[in-house]
Amino acid sequence: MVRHIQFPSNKYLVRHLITTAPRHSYHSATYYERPGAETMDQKGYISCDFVVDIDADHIPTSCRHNHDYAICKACGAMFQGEKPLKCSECESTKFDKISWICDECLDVSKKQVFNLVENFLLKEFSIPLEDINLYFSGHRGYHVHLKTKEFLDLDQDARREISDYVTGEGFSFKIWDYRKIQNNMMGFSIEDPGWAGKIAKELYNILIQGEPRIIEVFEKPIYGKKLNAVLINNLISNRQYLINQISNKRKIWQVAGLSDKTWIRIFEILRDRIKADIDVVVSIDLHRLIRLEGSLHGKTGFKVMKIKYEDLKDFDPLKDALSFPDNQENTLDIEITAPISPKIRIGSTNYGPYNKGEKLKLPLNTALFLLCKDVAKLK
Amino acid sequence: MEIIQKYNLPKQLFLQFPWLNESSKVLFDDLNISEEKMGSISLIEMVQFLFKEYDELLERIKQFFRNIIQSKEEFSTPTGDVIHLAMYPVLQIIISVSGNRILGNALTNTYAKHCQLELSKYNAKKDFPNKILQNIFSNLGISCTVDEHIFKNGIKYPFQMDFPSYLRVSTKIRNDSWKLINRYFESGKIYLIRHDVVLLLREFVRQKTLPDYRQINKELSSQMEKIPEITDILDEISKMMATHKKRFESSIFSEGETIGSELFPPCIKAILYRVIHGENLSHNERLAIAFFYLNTNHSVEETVDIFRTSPDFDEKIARYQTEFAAGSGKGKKYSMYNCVKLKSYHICRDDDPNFGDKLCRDGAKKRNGEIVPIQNPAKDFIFWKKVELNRLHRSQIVDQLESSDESEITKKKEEDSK
Repeated sequence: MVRHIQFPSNKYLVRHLITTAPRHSYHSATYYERPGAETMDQKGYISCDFVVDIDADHIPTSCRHNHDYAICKACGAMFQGEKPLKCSECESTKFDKISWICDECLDVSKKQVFNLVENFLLKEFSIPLEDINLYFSGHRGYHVHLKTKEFLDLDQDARREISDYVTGEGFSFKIWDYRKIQNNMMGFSIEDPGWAGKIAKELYNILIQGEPRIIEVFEKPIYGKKLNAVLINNLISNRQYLINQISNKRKIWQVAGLSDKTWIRIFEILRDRIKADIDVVVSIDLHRLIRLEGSLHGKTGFKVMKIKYEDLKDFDPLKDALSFPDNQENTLDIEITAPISPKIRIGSTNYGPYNKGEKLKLPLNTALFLLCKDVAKLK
Repeated sequence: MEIIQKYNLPKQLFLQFPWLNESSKVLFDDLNISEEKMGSISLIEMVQFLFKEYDELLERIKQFFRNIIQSKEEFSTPTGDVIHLAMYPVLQIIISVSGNRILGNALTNTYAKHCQLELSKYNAKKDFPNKILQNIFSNLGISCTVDEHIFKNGIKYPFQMDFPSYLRVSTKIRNDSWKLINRYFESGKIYLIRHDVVLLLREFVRQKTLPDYRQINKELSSQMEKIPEITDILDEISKMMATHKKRFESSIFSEGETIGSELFPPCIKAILYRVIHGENLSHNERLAIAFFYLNTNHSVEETVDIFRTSPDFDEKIARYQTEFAAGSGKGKKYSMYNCVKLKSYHICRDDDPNFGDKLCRDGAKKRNGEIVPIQNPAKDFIFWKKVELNRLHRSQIVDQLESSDESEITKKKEEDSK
């Protein structure tokens, strides 16, 4: 890895990229007095962009069980989905991973960007849309850069606070008056600002959608333990009462059989549905390296590109971020080297799955993707 | 009451709070120095001039240092006159010249506490309306507006501060109630009551009064030291510091900025780093570090030593509390907070870019690949850190052996080719 390089102008950067052709290219999100200095102490910190990283890798998605694989390094046994603790064939604990992408995981990332921008940055932080810079990362997610003065000067603690806010970390039920008063459980009002109001609104929205929705939400939470079936039934049988209380802005949410602890678990499940699922470490780091706009992602061959927020809805990474024109005539001969190369859509065509040893003539973008994913070699 | 028109603030406030922007103009007015002349006076000339003009200045500055070296973070000299105003730049220069961070933090604490005390007095007397606070914030370049008609859940929230300004200081008050998520936050503004605003202002003052150690270069510093009054003060500071050696030369930190053993978990390293720089710790941070030390075979003396660099250090209190925590006498020794508790107190620093540790973040990996989460920084962390370091040590030995093998093979090849 080559680091600490400073270029006097774009021309020098482009020349460097042409001559060295790095597989991955990054720039610092931080502004330094002397960016080319060898050590961080010598660089002279000035300020840093506030960067939010949304990546399907950090978000639990069901599709990864279909398209991700672990290959035992010792015996070559293949396991679909999450990496097991040890190989069931030879007990080895070392695996190679095949991490894939699909429309589902790319959509999950996109939804989280909408959630972050609409429900937090625009609505609560009142950041003008023109100050929100959005990039496709070239792989499974998006980067949001906030470069205005007020964000540039934030220290690490302040950045952590913003991250905590959008992820719902540190919400104090006690401070927000969630407590038992004379056997009455006090909840939140939909008129409460911030997270208290968000939780009340989310619960209301789930309750009005009826029993199947309540079961779906609390039986399959995004994170953590599901709610016990008896407790879910309790919630269902008191559904109308709770709808009335919340819509009438009453804070008493007393339901027999639901203890303080159960309510807190309910709130946690709701919080995980409301929050923007971001990679917190990226946002609080004051010395972060970020993929260079216009470069190709070394694991896909896709372009790292800036997107206008209004274009995000229709943005299709598997079509719009391809490095070469989607030309079926322009092909490359490759051979599959991994035990499996899962199915992938590139442009409007589906390719694969392929097995080890298959020799293929594929369009350039698809071949490049498989080469970058290290599941194939040039023939 | 004379009002300084530009900021709509009474002149008295500039005399009391010399950290306000443009307070130097009030000082120069008193000295009959015109705005044009202000720019042409060097720092050295200014300091000499101030000592010449105000006879009492030297003694007041000495008294200030006597107080802070004895951990008394208060002014025992008058605080509403022009000499108090003149003290401020000279104190800043002296501390910058000395380069002593502990004295610097004690200075910031003294001014911050003074501000809180004075504005609380105003609060009780109702002499100064909320608008004054708005104007003080405006003077400091902080956006905090006043609207007396805003109520939330029946409580009046007259102040609205923009979130970047709020976050600049609220994060230094380590308490759940100051977290953004636990505040009335709408459209980029945080809604605050007067008490909140006074505490936030205290933190702004702490930041504003922090000496800029880089501003005084070596040359300027040596020139400053030639001014007799400055030499006199610096000599007295050295003598006073020598009598409080333990506070200024804590045994643990004798090696510059070393932040503890490599076995220390990130939360403890972060607390030690702050305390070494004379920063104030929260109650829970003090307990966490004391419990950690006492539960990792450190003596009461060593534990008390940690706090010596703390700006409000009081040996009697620190020793009593440490002995209590250590279970001296018939008491029960306190065990170290577990990681869940440290997280709830916002002390955990597992993913901190400077102090963070993969071990805390991802857990320890057993030989069979099983992941064991770290649950207690004094037990699990140290145990697994030792394992990790042992593994690293062994892998380095293997690497060395392999590389020596490789060099032998190359030697043999070379010999064969000859």
